[in-house]
Amino acid sequence: MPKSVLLIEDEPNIIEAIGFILSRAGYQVISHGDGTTALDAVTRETPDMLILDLMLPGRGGLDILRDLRSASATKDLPVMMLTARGQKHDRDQAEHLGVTAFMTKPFANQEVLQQVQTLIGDA
Amino acid sequence: MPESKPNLGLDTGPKAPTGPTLFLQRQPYRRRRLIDAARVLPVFGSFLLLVPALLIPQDVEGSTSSMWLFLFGVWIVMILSGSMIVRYMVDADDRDRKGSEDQEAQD
Amino acid sequence: MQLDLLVLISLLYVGMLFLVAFAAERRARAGKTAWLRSPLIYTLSLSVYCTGWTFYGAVGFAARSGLEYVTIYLGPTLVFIGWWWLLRKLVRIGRTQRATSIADLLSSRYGKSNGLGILVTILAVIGTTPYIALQLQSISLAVAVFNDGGTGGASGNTTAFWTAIGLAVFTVVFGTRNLDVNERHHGVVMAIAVEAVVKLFALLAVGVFVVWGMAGGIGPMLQQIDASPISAWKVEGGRWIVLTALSGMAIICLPRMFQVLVVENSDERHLATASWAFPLYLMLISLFVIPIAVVGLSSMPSGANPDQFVLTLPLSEGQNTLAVLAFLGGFSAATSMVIVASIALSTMLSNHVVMPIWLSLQAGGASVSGDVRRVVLYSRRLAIAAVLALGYGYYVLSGGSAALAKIGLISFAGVAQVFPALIGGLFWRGATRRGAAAGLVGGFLVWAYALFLPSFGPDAVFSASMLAEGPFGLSFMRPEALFGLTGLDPLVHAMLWSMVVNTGLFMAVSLATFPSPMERLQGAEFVNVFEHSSAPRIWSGGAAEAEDLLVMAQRILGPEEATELFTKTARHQGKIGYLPDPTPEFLSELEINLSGSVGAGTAHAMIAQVHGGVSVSVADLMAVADETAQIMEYSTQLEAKSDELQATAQELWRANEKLTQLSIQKDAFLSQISHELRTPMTSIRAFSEILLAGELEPEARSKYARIIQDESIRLTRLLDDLLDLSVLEHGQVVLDPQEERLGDVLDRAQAAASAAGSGMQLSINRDSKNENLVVRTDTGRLAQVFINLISNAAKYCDHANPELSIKTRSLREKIQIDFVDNGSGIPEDSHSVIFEKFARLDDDKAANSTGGAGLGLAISREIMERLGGSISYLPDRQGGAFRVTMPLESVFETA
Repeated sequence: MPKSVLLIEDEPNIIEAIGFILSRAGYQVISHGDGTTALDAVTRETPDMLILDLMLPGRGGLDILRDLRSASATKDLPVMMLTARGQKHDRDQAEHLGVTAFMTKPFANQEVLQQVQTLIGDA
Repeated sequence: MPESKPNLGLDTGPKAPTGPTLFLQRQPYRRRRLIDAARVLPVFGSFLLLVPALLIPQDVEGSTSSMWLFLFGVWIVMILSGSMIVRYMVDADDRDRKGSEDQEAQD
Repeated sequence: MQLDLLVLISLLYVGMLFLVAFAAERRARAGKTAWLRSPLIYTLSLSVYCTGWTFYGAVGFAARSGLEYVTIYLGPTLVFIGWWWLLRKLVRIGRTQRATSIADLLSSRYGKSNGLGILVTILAVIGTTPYIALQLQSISLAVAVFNDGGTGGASGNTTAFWTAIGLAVFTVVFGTRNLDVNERHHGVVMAIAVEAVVKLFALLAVGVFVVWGMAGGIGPMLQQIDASPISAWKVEGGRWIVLTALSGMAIICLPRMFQVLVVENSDERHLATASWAFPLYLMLISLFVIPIAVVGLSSMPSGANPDQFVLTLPLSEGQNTLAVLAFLGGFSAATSMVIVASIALSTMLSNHVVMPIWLSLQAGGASVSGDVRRVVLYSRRLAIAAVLALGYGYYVLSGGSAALAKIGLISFAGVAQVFPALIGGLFWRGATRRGAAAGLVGGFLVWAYALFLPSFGPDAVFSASMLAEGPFGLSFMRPEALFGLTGLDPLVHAMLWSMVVNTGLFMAVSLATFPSPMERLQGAEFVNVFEHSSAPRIWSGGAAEAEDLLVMAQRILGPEEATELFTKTARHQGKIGYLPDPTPEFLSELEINLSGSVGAGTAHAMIAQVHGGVSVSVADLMAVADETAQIMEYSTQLEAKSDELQATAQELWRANEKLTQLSIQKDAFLSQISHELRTPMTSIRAFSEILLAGELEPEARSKYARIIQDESIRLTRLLDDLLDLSVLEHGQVVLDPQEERLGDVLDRAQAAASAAGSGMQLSINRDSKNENLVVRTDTGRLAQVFINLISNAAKYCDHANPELSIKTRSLREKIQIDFVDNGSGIPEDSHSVIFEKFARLDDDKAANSTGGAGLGLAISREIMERLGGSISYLPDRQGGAFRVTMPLESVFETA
């Protein structure tokens, strides 16, 4: 069973890109585009890790992270945050909330893959 | 003499009793009689000092020395009476002022 | 006795007086006035009544007329013993009115009439000048006694001259040192008190020497009195009474007495002490006059001047020290009178004559207060010099004659003419200015005609025949026997007639004339001074007269309103007419009414003015009222200003709020820009790398290349939009006005929107007949707005069969175009932000796919503002609804 990555992102082209990169490396990529229902998706899919966009329709990535960390089932789930906003305080806040990794868009494809491998090992 | 003490009239101060009072307290009563005395004194004095002018007929031989003694006698009596009235007035006034200050304590 | 020694002693004495005065002034400046202003000093200062004429002349008077001299002291004694009647009131009024002189007091009482002030001033100068001459004479005679045994001579003028100069210097130095608001002269008063002690001590010393040193004790003295030719004296009833009354009047009316009695008074309670202490002083100073006269007549050679007995008796007995002491006593008596009299007269002259003339010459330039003070000081100094020059001139002209000796009583009779007007003013509210003036002038003329001018002797002013037969043979007009009243002593005769004429005219004219409001207020103020100045806090009715209140109220409330208030209250009190009783209720009500116009403090002060409390003159009140009006006006302005300020502050607050918002927005904008730019770049970079890595099927490759292309276009459009918005916002846009049919513009927009949003299902309803309008504007930009609105509807309308209706209405010069779709519209809490940049609503997923950056409505709003119109969201419609409003013809700056 390949390791699964849940990608919570609302930009279809970015979903396409990350999906292509990770699936070619053997990971199973599930995407979800809505912030409000992201937690349900996590519960439902029980992924090995989460890639979370910061700016999401309905509910922000930071809020989702906070909820994940307060629930026992997901408090140790590796979470990599992606953001297009280059602001430092987003990163600080994310780290404070217990993010596992943090990346700024645009990113190098190789970097994303390496991060995922670091966090959950090879697929 | 509250009547003569400088009073600017507008500021604070003990509230005067409103309406006429028929029976005054002892001190104000004494004060009023002293004022009466102060008023009467010059009338008496005038009478006594003008007596020579009014009553002594021109042709009666009089003694200038006795007249001198009489005039200065009346004069001295007037001065003494006047000074006593003023002294009592000031005293009554002081007591009055004191009395109004601790009216509660009195009687 | 060396004359040089006497001069030296005199100079030393004068030097000591200067020192005393300096020390007193210094203490006063240091604020140590307690001792300077004690009842004792006050009483002693009153002794300026006892002049050189009294000091020397009383003995002469006694030698000629026996005990009659006592009347000169009995009058004042009775007035002081009876202080409760008159002096108390006079001092209170003088203090509350801040009277600077008797002329000032009368002018103040009679409606601040300066005419009356001038009249009294002239009268005082005429009455006082001979008296000053008399003092100079007494000094020069005394010096002559030491010089050559009392025969007098040419040296008299020299003595008088230098005395006058010295007195002028002293008076200028200490009398006009500064302008005290209270017109008090500490140095002068102190020097006079010292002089009072010296003259009393000197006279007592001479008296004691005469009785015990010469006559051999009291018993032998009394025998000697009865044996003396003085005992031949008989009481003249008329003169006795008239002289007593005259001196009683003089003690009040003499300018110098008013100065020390009222003006220099610092505490009313001192009067109580003086009421017996001053009679004591008078008694003591007159005690030894008869013994000195009797002993002098018996022991001095016949023909010796009895006026000089006080000096000649000790000298003839070889008591040089005592004689010098007596000389200093007489010197003190004379100088203190001259000093105080010249201060009093100079005050009158400068306040009532010089200042009014100067002010009228200035024509409005008197607003510089420093100027006026200097002028006052100079005018006083000049007036002092003038008064002394007059006195000296009078002395020289009268030749130091025996006639001058009589002038004392004549002078008294002259200033006594003020008495009726003064007493009437103090006790009778009906006294009027015209009455006072008529009485004064009448009485003064009679005095001059019947007493003053004849006193110079036959053929001096009046011819002997005129004195004997009357002018033009009119016997009833004989100066000393007016209307056939013969056989009377000239003084009694003149007093009788002048007082009858004076009082008669005063009463008659007062009754016949009507006082001005100012006079009436001042009259009430004077007559009811005790009710006024010691009234309780609560207004108790009675003293204030309704009429006065009405006069005052009319000035403040206006005639109609005041009269209405008074009439209403009168009716309420069951009275007919318009004048209610001044009950406490009414006074309080009035006060409240007044305070509405002038403020509570002023209103209270005003009622107090009429009714009791502080004395404020009517002029002051009017000034206060004016000032209050100004303050009210000013405060209205201030209020307006403060409203303005408040508005400004509010605007500032709003601006600040906006700035804060803008700052937040700016941050948000930057992170938005960042997000909007990075998102497409992320895709572009990711797929570029994928493409570069190769190993792709051809369709995947072309798919990814298309994504890169799409995102690049999105990026370009975003940059275009940002640039567009920036240009619009900064007003740098150049508009291109064209005339075009509105329908055509909408057609173009619809076509463009359809082309951009491929696969658009939106159906559009339009009413083409209303669109048949020609607009003159930048139609390209207008189309841009329309495109934005149509494509928004296409993107966001969430209805299954999305529809957009475009309705056009023309209202006069304006057109309204409504874009209403059938979707669910925009949530209410987003209404305020939709026109902001990047205000893409959170759930507009569609926006991403179609590449909107959330700048469309912001740009549309900017465009419509440029075109002179507006765009707004209509919240009360079913779906999303926007309204574009624009003028038919947009007016642009032809930039």
